[in-house]
Amino acid sequence: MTTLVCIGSAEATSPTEIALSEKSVLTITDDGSSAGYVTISWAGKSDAELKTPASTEYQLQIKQQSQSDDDYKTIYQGRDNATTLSGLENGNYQLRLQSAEGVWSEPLQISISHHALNKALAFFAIGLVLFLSLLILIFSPSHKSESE
Amino acid sequence: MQDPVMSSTMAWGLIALFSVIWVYLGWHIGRKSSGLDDYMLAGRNVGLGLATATAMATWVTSNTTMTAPQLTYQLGIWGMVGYSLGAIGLLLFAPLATRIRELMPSGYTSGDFIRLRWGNTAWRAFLIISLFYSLGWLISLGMAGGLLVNALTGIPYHYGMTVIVVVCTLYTVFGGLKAVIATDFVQSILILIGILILAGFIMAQVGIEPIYEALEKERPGLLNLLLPASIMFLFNNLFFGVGEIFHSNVWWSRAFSFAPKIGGRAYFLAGLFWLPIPIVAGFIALAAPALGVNVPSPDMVAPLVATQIFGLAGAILVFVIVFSALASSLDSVLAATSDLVVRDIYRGHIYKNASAEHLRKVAVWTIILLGVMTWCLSLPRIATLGALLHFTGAFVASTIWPIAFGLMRRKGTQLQATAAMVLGTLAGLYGYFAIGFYVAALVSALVSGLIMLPALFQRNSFNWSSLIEDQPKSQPKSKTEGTDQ
Repeated sequence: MTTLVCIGSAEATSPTEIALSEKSVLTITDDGSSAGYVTISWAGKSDAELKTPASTEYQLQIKQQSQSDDDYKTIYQGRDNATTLSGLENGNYQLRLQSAEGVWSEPLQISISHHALNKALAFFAIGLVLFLSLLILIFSPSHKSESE
Repeated sequence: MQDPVMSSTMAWGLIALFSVIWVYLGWHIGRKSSGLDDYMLAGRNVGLGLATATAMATWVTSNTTMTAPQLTYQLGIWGMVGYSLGAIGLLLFAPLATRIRELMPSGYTSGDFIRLRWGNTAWRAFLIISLFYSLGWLISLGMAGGLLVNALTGIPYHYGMTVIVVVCTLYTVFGGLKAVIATDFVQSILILIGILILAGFIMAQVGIEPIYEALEKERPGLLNLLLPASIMFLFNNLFFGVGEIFHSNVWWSRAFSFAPKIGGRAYFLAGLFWLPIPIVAGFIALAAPALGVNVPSPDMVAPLVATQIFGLAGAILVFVIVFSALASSLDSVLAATSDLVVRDIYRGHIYKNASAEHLRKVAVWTIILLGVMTWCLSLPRIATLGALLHFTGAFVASTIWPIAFGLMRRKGTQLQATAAMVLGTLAGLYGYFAIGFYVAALVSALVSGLIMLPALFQRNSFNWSSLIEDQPKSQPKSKTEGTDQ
C-alpha cells in the first residue's frame, strides 16, 4: 500500500523535473487511498528558485470526478511542491495544478476506496482476543506454581 | 516548504550547545567506567529514578514526536489514540523485566535468552529479526534528525543528519550504557517540559473549538471514529509496540542493568509517563487545517504547525524536544545493538573465548561501525518515517509469543518458537503489502500466536536453571565477563 519513496521535503527536485515545470505533472508519492489519505507532489522549482516571489506560486484544485470543471475548488496555493490530503471519503476525485507560468496540468485521477467496516472490525476483534490472551499468559499465576 | 524560521547560525549554535553537553557527559562518565559490566550494563545497579527516566526517554523517539502527528494527520483521532497504545509495551514489560532479572541474573542480551530457551536455530532467526529492526530504527532516527533540522533551519538534510549521528555515536563510545542512561535522564526532563509547554501554547492560542470546526469542515474523515483503516491500526500499533519492547535488546539490557526488583516499577512508571506524549504530539497535527498549514510531507506536520504558531520560539522548542528525543533513542539503540553484535555474533559465533577486556574493545568499534552504517543508510532517505517504521512491525511482532511463552511457561519446543518467528514475519510482510502498514504487526502476531498455541497442551519440558549459563573459566591474561559479576 505505502510506496517507499522519498517525499521528505520540497528540495528533492532534479533538473529534469524543473524543466517540466511549465506544465507540471501531478504524481502520487504516498498512496493511502484505502485509508483516505494521499500525498501528491509536482515537479517544481528548486529551493533557490523558490525564493523568487510571486512568479513561483502554484494553485492546486480538486473536484469530484462527476462534477463539472466549474466545481473545482482550490485546496492549496503557494510555493510548496507537494501536499497531503487526508480524511477523504470514498469516491473518485480529480486534481489539477496551475504552474507558476499559469498553465494547467493534466488532471490526476485518484480513487478513494476505504476498507469495508466488517473487515476492519474483524481485525479489531482478532487484536482484542490476542491482547487478552497475552494478558492471561503474562499475569496468570500458573508459572509461579511450576517448579522453578 | 515554508521559509525556515530559525537562522542557520542560531541552529548551529543550538546544535553545538547540546552536542557539547552530551559528549562531555559521555566522556565524564566514561572515565569512571571500568570493566565489561560497567560499559555494557552500567554496573547492573541502576536505581529507580534513572531507570524510569531512561525507559521513558528511550521510548520517546523521533517516531513519537514526528510519526505520531503523521499518523494523526493521516488516520485521524484513532491514529493518535492508537499510537499512545505503544505505552502498553512498557507496561507489559514491567512484569517481564522482574522475571528476566530473577531467571537470568548474569544475562547480557535478549539473544542470550533465546539461545538458552529456544536453541541455536531460533537464536539465529531472532538475531536476523532483531538486527534488521535495530538498523531500521537507527535509520529512522538519523533521517528524522536530518529532516527536522532541514525543516526548521534550512540547513541541508545531510548536514543535520550527520551531526546528530556523529554526536550520539561519540558519547555512546565514550561512556557506554552509563553515559546513555545519564544523558537520558536530562533528555527526559527536557522532553516532558517541552511537550507540556507546546501543548499549553496550542490550547491557549488556537483552542479546541476552532480546531474541531476546521476538521469538521475540511477533513471530517479524521474525526470519524469508524474509519476502517484506523480501527485496524489500533491493535496493530499495540502489538507493534509490544513486539519492539519484548524482543529488543534496548529493553533487555536495561532489565539486566537495573538493580534487583527495580525493573518492574521502573517500566510501569515509564509507561504511565509516556502514555500522554503521543496524544499531545498528535493533537498538534490536528491543528494544521485550522491554521491553514500545508503539509508537503506528513512526517513533518508537527514542526510545520509549531513554527506556524510560535515562529522562532516554537522552532526552538520543537528543536530541543526532538533533538533530545532523537539523542535519547539513538544512543540507546547504538549501545544495545552493539551489545547484541558483540555478545551474540562476535562471542557467540566468531571468538567464543574472548576475554572481557577484548570484548570491551570490540564493543567500542562496533558502536563506531553501527554509527557509520546508520549514516550511510540514512543518506538516500529511502522512505517516509512512518513507512520505514511500520515495515519493521512485521518482524518484531513475531517474537512476542516466543518471548512471553518462553519466560512464563516451561512448555513449547524449539521448532515451534523458530516457526513462530519465521512464519509470523512472512505473514506480517504479506499483510503489509496486501492490505496496508496498519495490519502488518497484527497479522504477524496472529500467525506467530497460532503456532505457539499448541504448546499450551504440551508437558512441561524446560528447566529454568538452564537459563543460568555456565560462566567461562577465567582467562590467564584477563578476567572474563563472567567473573565481573
